[in-house]
Amino acid sequence: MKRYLYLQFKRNLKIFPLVCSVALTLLLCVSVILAGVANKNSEKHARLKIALSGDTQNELTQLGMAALRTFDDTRFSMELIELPEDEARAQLQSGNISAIVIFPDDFLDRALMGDVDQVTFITTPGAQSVVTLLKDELTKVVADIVIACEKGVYAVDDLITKNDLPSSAGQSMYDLSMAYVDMVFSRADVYVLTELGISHGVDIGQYYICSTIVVLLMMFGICFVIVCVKSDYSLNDLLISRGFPNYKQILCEFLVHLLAFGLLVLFLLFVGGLLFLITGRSDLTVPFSATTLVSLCARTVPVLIMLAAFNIMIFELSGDLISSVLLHFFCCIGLCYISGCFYPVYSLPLPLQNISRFLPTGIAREFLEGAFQGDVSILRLSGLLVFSGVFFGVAVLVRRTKTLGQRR
Amino acid sequence: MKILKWFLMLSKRLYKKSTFVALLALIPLGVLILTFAANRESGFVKVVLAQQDCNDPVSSAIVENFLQEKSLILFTQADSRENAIAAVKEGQADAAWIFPANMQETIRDYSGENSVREPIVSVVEREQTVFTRLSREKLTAALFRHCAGARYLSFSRENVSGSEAFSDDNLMEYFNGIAINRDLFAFDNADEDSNTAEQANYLTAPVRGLLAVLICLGGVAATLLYMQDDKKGVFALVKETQRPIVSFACVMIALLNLAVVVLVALFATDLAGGVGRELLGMALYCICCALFCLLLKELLASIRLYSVMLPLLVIAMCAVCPVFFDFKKIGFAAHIFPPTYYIYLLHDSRYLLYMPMYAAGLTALLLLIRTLSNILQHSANANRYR
Repeated sequence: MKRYLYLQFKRNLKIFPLVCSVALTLLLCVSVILAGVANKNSEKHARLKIALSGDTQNELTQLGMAALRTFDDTRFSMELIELPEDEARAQLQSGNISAIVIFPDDFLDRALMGDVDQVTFITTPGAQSVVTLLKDELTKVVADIVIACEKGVYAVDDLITKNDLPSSAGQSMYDLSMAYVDMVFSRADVYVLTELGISHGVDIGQYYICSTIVVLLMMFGICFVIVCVKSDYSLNDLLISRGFPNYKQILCEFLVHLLAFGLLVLFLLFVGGLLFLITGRSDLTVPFSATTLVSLCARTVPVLIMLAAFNIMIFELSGDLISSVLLHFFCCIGLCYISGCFYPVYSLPLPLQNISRFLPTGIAREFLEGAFQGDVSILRLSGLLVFSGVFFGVAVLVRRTKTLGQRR
Repeated sequence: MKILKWFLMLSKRLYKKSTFVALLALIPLGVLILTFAANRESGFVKVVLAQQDCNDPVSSAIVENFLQEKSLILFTQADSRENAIAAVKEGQADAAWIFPANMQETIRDYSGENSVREPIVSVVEREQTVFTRLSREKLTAALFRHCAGARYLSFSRENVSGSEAFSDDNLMEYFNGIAINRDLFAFDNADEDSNTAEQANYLTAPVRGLLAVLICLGGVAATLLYMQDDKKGVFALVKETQRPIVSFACVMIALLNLAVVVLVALFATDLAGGVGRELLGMALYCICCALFCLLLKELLASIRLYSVMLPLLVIAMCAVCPVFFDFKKIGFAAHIFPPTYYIYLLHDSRYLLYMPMYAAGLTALLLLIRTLSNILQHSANANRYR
């Protein structure tokens, strides 16, 4: 067993420096991207840019836009800029803005008299921006408010004109419109907001830290495809004939693969920590304490065991290079997708949410989240170990079939 | 005849592997299952609704409306305020909206001309995000419908002479009798070729991109297999001048197999565009992927380096290409990878032109690198023999 272990170790060692370099490059790229995303999500940059075109030069429109920028709650999530239509379309194409709203001529003057023209709302289809996803919701909200105001204004007009009342219909319509404008700007007063904070559960940043760890660790498994995938089982057959059974061979391969994986993670942690100290970025706030970091690292160990067993099973099932790579990718993406590593799990349909609780990647993610919650998670740890056993068992069975087939 | 022989030989070595065949079957099945699941109820934000008085007509109407509406916000109902807040605390919901008893009276008090605006609804959230802020706009819009009516009533009473002759119900008849059924917004798309302004389902939107990445990855794996076989001497009898054609053919065979199942998956789940555009686009995409993979092979040279770069390539493609999100600001980086062209092709037919240009660029680079490496090899050999 020792000799076979040594042989596997030597095979993995040949590509280990390369794997470390690639993993480090990947980690640096991911860190730069996350830093960029975090910067983008700061108060200044988190807002959606929406261009207003068409009839925006009207005094009241200008006043309205100034009021929106200053008083309205949407100023925290949207930035309204005025642009000519051609320039706005060019900016939309280049991704500098999320949407364009085009007002027809004399829009506001007519709106104040209760006659609201159709407004054109332009986004790019297929683009996965917040605005495109929420386009229907946002426009329905605006439409509901505008239609409610229109109803009131028309109703007052009908009341006065149909009953020949002494009040001026035009003035009443205008005054009611102004009253509605005031209500629109203070519409947030209809509710009182209480923020509980994250005392139980994880916030979205912590959620994605755990998800990213799971996705990256799964992806790193593909690096080892060139050493782990076998098409020729002659050596294994010979070892069986010498009294070295399949399960011991798989165990050796698994242990070496796990060691390589573990060393890779340690290497990345070491380099990451070193860079953090060398750059002396005291302004960088780490999103968790030292205790949480240690807990997260400790929890990565059973996750690594499970993923190493998963990799061994996939490489054993596929048996050739193309199938290995494709099967590994397909399973990684499929499992991570359904487990909520890309979209938060609560945004998935209920059947998928129920399935994700029992998937190895879902259990791994939840187990890692326990580091932020201070949760011991014995059940999830057991789940990871059970899956490790199952994957190991399947790998042994498949190897047995292949070597048995060869001997026949 | 010779081409057919080569086609059969190269295909055989793929079809001999049962896992590869199983994977080809799994791809459309996986996509079908995901599309089926995506059509079930789901939402990007989960809001739990609670009423202090379940018999209150106004709050019941608002809650009923939210529960029946198809939206990116998933609404559920709790039977009490405490259960709603507990759901938020335990992370089962992003927000809880708690409606008071006597909503009609509360709304009237809120909307009066000189009234002090006491909040009507309690909103409890774990943390404020862009989505929860935008979802609160939905709440304000729903309440605004009722507040606008109350405000009209209050305004009529205070400012319209002669309104005292009418009862509240009479006055509200004018308000309720106004039927405005037209759409306030007309939607349009910035891209020329889009026929409708339908909204992508956020769950199935990345599927096309992920399948494109899968095809590209298949090309990379086929290139690796070719490099292994070449090292073993499988293509030893092929002339040196014909090796590039053979390597291209090896990669293309694998890509074409994957392309067929991906097209089947896309058409079966209604995620595809027009038939002509898809077929032509896929053929061009396979050529681009093959050239891209062969270019990488020339750049990386070693099998080990090539295989180790796989996760970097996969994550780069998933992050940079518009698979999940379209970061137009890094458009140049996205256009280095083939999946970008395939994803944009659905909405922009100009990419049917851009793809051959991209393929031409890759071919030129490939020839340049091959020429340079031949020159370097010649000079290295010349130095050795001196």
